[in-house]
Amino acid sequence: MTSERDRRFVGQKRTTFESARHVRGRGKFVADIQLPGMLHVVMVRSPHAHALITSVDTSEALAMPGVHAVITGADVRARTEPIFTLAALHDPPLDIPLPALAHDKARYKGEAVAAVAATSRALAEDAAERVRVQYEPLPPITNATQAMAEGAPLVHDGSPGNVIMHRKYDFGDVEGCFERAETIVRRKLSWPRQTGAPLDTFGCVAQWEPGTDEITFWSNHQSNVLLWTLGATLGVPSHRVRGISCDIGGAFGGKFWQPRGMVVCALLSRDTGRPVRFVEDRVEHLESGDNHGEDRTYDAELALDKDGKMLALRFDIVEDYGSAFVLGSINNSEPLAQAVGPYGIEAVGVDFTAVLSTKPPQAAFRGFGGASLNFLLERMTDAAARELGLTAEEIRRRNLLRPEQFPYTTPTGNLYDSGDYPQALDRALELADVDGWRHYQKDARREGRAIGIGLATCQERSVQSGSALWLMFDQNHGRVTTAAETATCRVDGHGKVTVALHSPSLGTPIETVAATVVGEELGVNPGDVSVRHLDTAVAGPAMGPVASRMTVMLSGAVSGAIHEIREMMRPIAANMLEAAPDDLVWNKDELGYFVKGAPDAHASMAEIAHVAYSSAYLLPDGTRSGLESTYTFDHPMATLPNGSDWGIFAPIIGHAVHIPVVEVDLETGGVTFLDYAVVHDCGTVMNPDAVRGQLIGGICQGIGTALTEELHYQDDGSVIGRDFRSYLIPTFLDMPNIRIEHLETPSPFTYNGVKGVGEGGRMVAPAAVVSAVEDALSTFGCAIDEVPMTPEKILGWIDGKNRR
Amino acid sequence: MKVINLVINGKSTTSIVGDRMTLADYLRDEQGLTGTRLGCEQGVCGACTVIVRKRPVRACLYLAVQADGQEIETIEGLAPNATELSPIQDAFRQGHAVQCGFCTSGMLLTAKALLDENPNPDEDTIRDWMHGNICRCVGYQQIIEAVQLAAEQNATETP
Repeated sequence: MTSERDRRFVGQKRTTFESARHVRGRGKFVADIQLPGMLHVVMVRSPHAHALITSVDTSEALAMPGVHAVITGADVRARTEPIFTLAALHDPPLDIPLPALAHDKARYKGEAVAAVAATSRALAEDAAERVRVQYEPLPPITNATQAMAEGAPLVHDGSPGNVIMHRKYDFGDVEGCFERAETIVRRKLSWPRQTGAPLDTFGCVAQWEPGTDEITFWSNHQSNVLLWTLGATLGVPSHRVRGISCDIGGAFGGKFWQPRGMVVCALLSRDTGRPVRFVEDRVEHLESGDNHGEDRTYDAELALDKDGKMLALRFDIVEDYGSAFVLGSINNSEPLAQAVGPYGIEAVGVDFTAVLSTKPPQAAFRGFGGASLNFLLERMTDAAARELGLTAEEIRRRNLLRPEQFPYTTPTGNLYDSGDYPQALDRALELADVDGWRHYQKDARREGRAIGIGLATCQERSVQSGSALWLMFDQNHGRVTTAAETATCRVDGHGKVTVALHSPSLGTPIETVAATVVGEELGVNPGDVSVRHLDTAVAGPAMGPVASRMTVMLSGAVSGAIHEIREMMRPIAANMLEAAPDDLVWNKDELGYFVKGAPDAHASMAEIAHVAYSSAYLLPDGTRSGLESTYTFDHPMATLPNGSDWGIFAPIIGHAVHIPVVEVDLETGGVTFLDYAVVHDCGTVMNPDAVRGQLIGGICQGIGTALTEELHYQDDGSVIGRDFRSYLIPTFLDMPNIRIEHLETPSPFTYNGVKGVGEGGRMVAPAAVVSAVEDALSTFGCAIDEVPMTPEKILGWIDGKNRR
Repeated sequence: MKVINLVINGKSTTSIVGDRMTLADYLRDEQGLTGTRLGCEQGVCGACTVIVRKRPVRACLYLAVQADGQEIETIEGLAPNATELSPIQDAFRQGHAVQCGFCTSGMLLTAKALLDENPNPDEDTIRDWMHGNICRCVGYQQIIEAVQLAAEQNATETP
């Protein structure tokens, strides 16, 4: 660990390694993989949201020239074990299979029922049209109300009433707080399905080796570690499943659990003896991919005392998980790491119901449900402010945790490491010039213009423990998955440094982060460090770039490995210099060991490396040739759930204050940004440009969440939002320029005090933008309890629907 | 099948292509120029943008047979040589206008076409020109700044 004063590279501007290849078009994405004899896979997909599959006839497709194989759901069922999902960890296990290809019935529109492998994608598409599937349609279920209705058809026979879980938790004295309360605010809110929609859809190449029965995947899967679970499905020992990561063109959680296409490709490769490639097209990705985010309604109450101090939050949440329970209840448990936000709320009550529907399975989308829980908390805070006649900033001032309260344990048991929320709020109000905008708003109102100033003060938890996946399963846990991360560093025989990552890269930019840490700890210029990615055959524990964890976890792993290498070099240098090892001091400027008090006696890293690699006879007893360390960094704080709370599972807590200023066009319902100011705290900033990119990109997604993005299900189970003409991502014309200031409250638990930053922009922006639009429309008396705020909805609110 | 003659990044090429092959598939699969990315294949995201006769076009909506007799510029032709970058490429790196890199090729070619036509565009012009290119990672602000930076660099290099 270096002190702030001595930092060489941490916190400095650094052009990313990753961009060097991307600006030349030389990134290697999965669709760029070409192998000799490779076949192309196209899925046959159900046109019905819910239908029995009565027959599948592949003969016509198989007879077509260029078609090498066709497999069906029945083939998959006969030849594989069930795909591992978190439903299996529930006690008792939940009977909610995730078939790689549907065999008995299709459970959403676009579910794959068969797959074709042919010599070109065009031929495979032609052949897929000739696979004859007979269906017997059943009524679709497109929301939780339908799912739980009396007599509703069952999505899975093993889940009566389509309800998979119902749990009730009181963290702290919820009842007591509500009895003490002077004011109770109640709101019902809803948050529909959205998705990360990376430009690079999910894809994989599978190659089965007949001689060794090994299977190799090239893919844009964002967590290599999860590929191991495919071995059990395919009947291959886990160490014979090898995952090689490609450049990932964005993921946002949607490539965290993608086993189905991989299982299909593995079988087709085994059948044909050739490598096969499947890459989703855009419609497949949006309509039928394993990547949709949370899909929920809240019925919430906030209890406050006479001074406007928040006492307790309780909410019923009904979550539509779609047709499977892939990631378990993580989208509900993970957000409870920060259920009380930055506020000193004493108690939290949660009544959680998870249901099945005929939609694709829910997965992760940037924040694991955190964006919608922040939305809930901020909406409740604003509603309370309105009820009590306080400004948005005043109610927050009365409730923000104070700097001296850290480390702070929340009612759910999670720990907040550090922060200075009042300072963040004050600085944001000043940066945004809120007073100035309020004058402007007043003047504009006289001209009939609707200006709104939004405010959100939210948490950005990072570094999860895997136990968040099953915290809600209520079993006798006894296990916490600490979601470690590993790095391998090597100094070669010429003294040159390579760092190998055990996780894939999204460009976020973890390669640059790793090189920066090497530079910081060793003294080499980060630009002289070579960065590689290991495949899973040789990788150690590594969860990958999810849950805003990589900067913290990777810097822990890389710095650990570098320190081990420095300690390996010490006795060698001591031998060379005929000095006591403890008398040696590493010099980052000269890149070598010096003898304390004898500045002329030094051994350079290159000299030490030469000995370490090629002169074993010069090595001291007890050392071996080579300079390499593989270091696994564990979650810094994870603890087990106990009787009253869930323990610590995401303790590295960032914080942000967003203040957008919008104008709502009262004629069209359109929203335009006039300003967007952010004060942000992710601890020590590792790379200012990268942090800025994460923030602005995240806010861009959050603005999409707030205004335009929705997978809108119609009565027949089809979705509006299945392509980029109807799933509306913000463009150059929609995004304001974001003004950002950083506040740095270093984490006491991490390398140089860094915190995660990946999901934060999207976790905060929706709450902020909704509050701005509500403020703009305050003269119409509407309360906004949902996203996206489309022009149609805004015009409805102006016309008097949803008035309070 | 049809014989096409075209110039790709300054090099003449003759190929036999299927009638329904897109220019994007032709560049990626037949020419090995995989820097042209496919993000939606329906002309919305702009990741596949290449330059045909000085204009940005969607290679996913443009048939290879239409390219007969045309001059095509792709991302692989943008840098002057193996060690140097063009000003717009360099500006994208310096300005951190790249995150995952998937939209980058299309962004760079659209920006190049813009700067070739208008060497000193203001912010609104950049937004207007480039709004057919979607970025999902880094947001647009840094890309606008990078285009402006490249414009400045162009101005200082060509007095």
